[in-house]
Amino acid sequence: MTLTACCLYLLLMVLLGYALLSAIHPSNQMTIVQLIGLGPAVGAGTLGCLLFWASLIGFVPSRNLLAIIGVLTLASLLVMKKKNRLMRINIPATDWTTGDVWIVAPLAVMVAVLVMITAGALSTPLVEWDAFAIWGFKAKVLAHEALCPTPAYFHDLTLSYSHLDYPLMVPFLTAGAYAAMGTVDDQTGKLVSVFLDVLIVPMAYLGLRWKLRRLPAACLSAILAMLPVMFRYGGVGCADLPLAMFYAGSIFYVARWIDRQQGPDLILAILFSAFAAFTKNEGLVLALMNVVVILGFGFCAVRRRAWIGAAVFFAGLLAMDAAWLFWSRNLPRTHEDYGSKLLSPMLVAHLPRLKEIIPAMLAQTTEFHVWGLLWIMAGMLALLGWRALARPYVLAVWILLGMQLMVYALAYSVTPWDLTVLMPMTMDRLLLHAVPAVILLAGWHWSEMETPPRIVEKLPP
Amino acid sequence: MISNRFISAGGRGSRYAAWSLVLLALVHLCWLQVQPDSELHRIFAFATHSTASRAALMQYAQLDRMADQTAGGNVLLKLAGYAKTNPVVENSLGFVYYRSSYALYPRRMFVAPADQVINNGRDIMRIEFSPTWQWLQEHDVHSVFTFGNDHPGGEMLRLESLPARDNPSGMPANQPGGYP
Repeated sequence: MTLTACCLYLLLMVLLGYALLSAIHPSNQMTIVQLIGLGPAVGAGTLGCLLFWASLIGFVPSRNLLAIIGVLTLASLLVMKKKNRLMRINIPATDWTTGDVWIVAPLAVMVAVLVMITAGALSTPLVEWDAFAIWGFKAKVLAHEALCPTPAYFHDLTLSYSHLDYPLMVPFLTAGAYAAMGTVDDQTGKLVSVFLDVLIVPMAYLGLRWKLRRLPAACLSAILAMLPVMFRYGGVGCADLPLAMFYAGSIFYVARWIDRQQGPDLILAILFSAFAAFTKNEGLVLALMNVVVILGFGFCAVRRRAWIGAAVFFAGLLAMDAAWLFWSRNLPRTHEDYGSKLLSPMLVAHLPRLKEIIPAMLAQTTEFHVWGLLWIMAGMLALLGWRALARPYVLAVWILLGMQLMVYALAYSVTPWDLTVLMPMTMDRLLLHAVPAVILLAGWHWSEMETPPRIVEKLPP
Repeated sequence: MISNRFISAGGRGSRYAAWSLVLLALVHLCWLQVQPDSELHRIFAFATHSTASRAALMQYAQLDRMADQTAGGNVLLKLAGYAKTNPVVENSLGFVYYRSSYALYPRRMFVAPADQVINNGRDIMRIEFSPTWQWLQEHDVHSVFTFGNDHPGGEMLRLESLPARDNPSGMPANQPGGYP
């Protein structure tokens, strides 16, 4: 019964995403990958934000609240259907090439990985330390109390280990599952975690398929799915893979906006950046980097539309995350608090630590039992397809990746923890956030050696 | 933006090299996952409830069970013997606190006054909280988890229920300080 309720809750995310995509791309066509990847990702992020806003005005996630969201979603879908504005699902049957039949192999791999991660997740309660001490704990608090008035938990310094100031996307989505199930069942509730985590694969495929043929895009997606780090963190209940998933969406649509400057891409870039910022503190930094890159390329493009787009992006991001930024401004930052440290003069004093950190980060990329050959393969593909660097969207993602790695290295330099203890424990999780950029870059560089990208772009995914 | 016609597609050699790299990466990942110590094997062990996975989950189950046994009210986590000073147990102490706090919510586990920052087991050891009987009553504490032992080989974690309220004379025996 609880499993059925949880599945219905996931269905609500899918419907919500479908409704939003139909609103963003009225009367457009939607591919199966967009239906099973993009729609649920947008739906999950939106539902997390809705539950947060409802909690701010005093409503704990509950079946009634979910029913209201469900009814409103269905009503808007009906209205859009009546006005012929619903996205139509397009099953491409005519443009398959002979070699595409091999797509069965990577597809089978991806399905097998999904089955294994789901089975593993549902066989235990929350056991990962961060999962129960931080994210699961917050989910219990949010399932129990609304954010108005602020629950005592958020100012209890004896619970500082649970990072009182961390964003609440994953806890709210989990609390929503508890509400749907009518009980706090963290074992079944991990289905939400699995759902969010594996969405990174179709999201990456979507980005790759923009410039690549089906088979190479599927092979790179299978590599992503098969990474040992995916098995390690998939479905455990932490927020790192959901952050990477939202970030994948954000950089893909930032890249598309830079390339094509079309409104729907900008809207999706705003949504995904806002979702990332509400998932982890790192997400806020990554979202701000997206602002910087969009702004920078807007200035370089010397086009009015590009400048306006940059302003709209920043305003949209601020609007989406304003409630969180305002509500969380007074939360105690008694643990780590990288934000303040990175902006303080102590950063300069700690710069010599980079001599220890950067080699450790480079060494981590060659940990084959964690990453396989991903980083080496991506580097080699970038070298082979170096001409792609002439494309602004590729350059933009390289700049984003560079800034991300630089900020993470600087964060390590100001950490209050012993680096020799912290880095081995956290490096794989932090580099996991960079994997979407690495995979997309690998694919987009590869596309320079394959069919010319502009032709591929016309094919449906 | 540079138009595509100025960027020629790579040669056949580059394409073969790219495919070789990607296929090599895929095969390598498959090979990694069939190794006995792979993440896939770990997941399989948990999914099939193997003996090793049951052993790994035992400490979680024990703490969750103890939290259930504290029927009502809040809980105090108290240190005893070597656990007060031995840094070796910092990690396990942290684990006991994090897991019990999670399992007990919305009830509370107290390890320090509310204004003390607890980020790890070391902080708990440093504070070595020892509240008065009145404090326990005011904070609705009904049970005590005692972590550590004066005698080697003794139980690492014990649960004791506090006697009926307003009856300090019935406190559990051998409590090192704190209670009147």
